[in-house]
Amino acid sequence: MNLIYLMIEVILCYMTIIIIYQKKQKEGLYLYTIVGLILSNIMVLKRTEILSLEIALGFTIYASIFIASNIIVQKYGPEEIKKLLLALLISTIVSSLIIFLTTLIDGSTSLSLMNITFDYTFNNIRLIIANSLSILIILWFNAILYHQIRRIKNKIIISNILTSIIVSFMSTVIFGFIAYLGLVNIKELSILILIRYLIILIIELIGTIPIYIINKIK
Amino acid sequence: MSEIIFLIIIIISMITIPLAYNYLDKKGLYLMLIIMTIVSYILSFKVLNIWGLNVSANIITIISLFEIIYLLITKETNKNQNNYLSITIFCLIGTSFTILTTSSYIPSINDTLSTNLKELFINNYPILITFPILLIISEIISPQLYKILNQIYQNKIISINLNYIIIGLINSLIFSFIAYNNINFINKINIALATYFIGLVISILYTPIFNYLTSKKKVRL
Repeated sequence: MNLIYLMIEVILCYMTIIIIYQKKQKEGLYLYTIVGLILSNIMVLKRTEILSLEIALGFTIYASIFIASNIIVQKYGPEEIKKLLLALLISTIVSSLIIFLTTLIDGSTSLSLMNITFDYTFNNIRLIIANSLSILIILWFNAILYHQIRRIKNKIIISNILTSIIVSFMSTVIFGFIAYLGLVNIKELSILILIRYLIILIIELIGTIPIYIINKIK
Repeated sequence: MSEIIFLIIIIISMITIPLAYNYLDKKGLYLMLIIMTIVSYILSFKVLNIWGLNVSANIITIISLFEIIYLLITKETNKNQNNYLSITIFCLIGTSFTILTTSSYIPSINDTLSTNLKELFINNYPILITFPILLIISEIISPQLYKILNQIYQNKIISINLNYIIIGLINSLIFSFIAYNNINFINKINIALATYFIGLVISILYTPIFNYLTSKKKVRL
């Protein structure tokens, strides 16, 4: 069942990127990545199983953020990513801070069950930081790498595949270390990183299709 | 302690909006619109207890959201006047989709959060449905009312606060009555009026910032 949800999520994410680009071009891609980062910070709090392999959720939107940034580089050049990074930094700090601070405020006793579950759900700031930092640190490197590969070999498939292989590994390692170091042993940590890497890599490789389609749109 | 944190959140909201506008111009306002919309939706699932009052946790971000919309109406060209509405709708659909997807995935054996997520979002489905509908209706009506009030009084500050006095009351009452279905009538009235009152205070606190930003001609890019 989870695999079906995953496939629906992948299709919806990439369809959204294509539609939003058609409607609002560059601003649409900015909108998608900013909304995507805030929402992946919420999804990452839950752990699920894909093909019996355990993984923290939010990885579909996470991977699609890199695809959206590749489209921005493809269409407008790597310099645009600097502006995107600033917007992502502001959005992740403000949203996470407000939500986290709210969990520290006493809840009303008349709706105590709802308030307790809210606090328990959103006070895991470590996972949110891991998710945000792994994107923010790697996104600039992703843009430069994609741009350089594109300059050497001007083919979308090669640029996206090579960038995805390297970048998704680096971002997953950063996420894994920040999120799980000290909570699990090194062997378990390596497995968690490897599983997340493979799933994100597959989703990013599928992401070549929207890049290709959007590149055809004038 | 809760009251101090509440005040810190007000300060964060009040500082970030002018900063975003200063550095990113109108794009900064759109950025804050996205953040405040999603955060408001998430915070609608908590009711705070501050100064002995039961207040909806999203009141600060909702007021910030409307201040941003009034600023955009003032600054934006006629052609782009309704951009904020399409962005809000996109954010709300995205957040609803995320909430539903996250709750639907079958959790792993080690996951301790899954029951909580279902408890929080699915069991409180009236909030999940009521909040986005009310927000979209408010965002359609509120700017129209603001324009009418501004024509009558020729004063942006009076128009904004009068606008909240009318829209805020209706909004708080409808939301409390529909969204919080498992508490009694008195508690619903308490939450609605307390949220409305605190919202009015925050709205007044925003007045100098709004005044400063609307009178600001040149911005640093």
